[in-house]
Amino acid sequence: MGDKVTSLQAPRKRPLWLTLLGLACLVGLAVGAYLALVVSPPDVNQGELIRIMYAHVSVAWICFVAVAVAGFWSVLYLWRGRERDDVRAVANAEAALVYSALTITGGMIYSKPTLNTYWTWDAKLTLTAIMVALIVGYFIVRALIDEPVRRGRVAAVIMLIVVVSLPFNYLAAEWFRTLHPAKSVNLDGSGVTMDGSMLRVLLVNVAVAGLIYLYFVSERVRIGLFKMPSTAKEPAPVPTEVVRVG
Amino acid sequence: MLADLTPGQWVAFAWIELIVVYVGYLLYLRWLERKKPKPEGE
Repeated sequence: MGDKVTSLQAPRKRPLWLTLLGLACLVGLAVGAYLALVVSPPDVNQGELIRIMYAHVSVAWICFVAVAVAGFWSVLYLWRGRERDDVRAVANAEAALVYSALTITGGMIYSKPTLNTYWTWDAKLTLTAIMVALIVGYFIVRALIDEPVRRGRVAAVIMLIVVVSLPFNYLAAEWFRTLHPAKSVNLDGSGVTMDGSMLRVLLVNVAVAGLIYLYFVSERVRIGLFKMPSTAKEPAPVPTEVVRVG
Repeated sequence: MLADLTPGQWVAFAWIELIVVYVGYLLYLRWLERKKPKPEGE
């Protein structure tokens, strides 16, 4: 009996690296906020409101990363059928939901004082709203299906649909007339239309948002693996040693 | 009401919202960790 309790409780302990990562997130958030709220110069057009951009753009970028990684683990689950891949997909899908909700609400807060409206149904914003709705649907479907394999497969397909929408969302501000500003940092290498001092602050805040995303996902995976039915777990590594000690 | 906010207050609103959501998700993770699993067959 004693060995079972020991082997089940072992994964509950948070590893030291995860605790340190959590502390790094706290420090990073403080540094990122200081740079954005104090160090960054005001914008020539937006004035002090540019400080919202650092919070909004950083979470929007990480939202895209979380969706892409959730899609990656979903493909692996569909391919290999391992429950661990589903746990990792769920962890990233939750992060995607958090960051997409932050993107939309932060965007609304940014939009009202700069563009005089909280929302408009243009291509960029509508695609983002559809993305959030699909991620919410992902979790509704998971709650409705009891059978684990079917639940994982259906959810994985929904996540792949979200992934397919990503490039359209990314390029929507260029392809369509939209209230959303065009990109200031182009990932295709065509240049950066942002002052260097602002770009540095933005990149620090993106790194911090990425660090927090890593922490959230690592914690969620740790909890998810612990909660996984014991049949899907890999064999307990040291049961014989525990018995010997007892 | 919100339309009367100054630029500084909008900035504070955006950053506080960010931190509140982060803390909220962290609390959800703590709750999930402590939540007892459903018995088999339920």
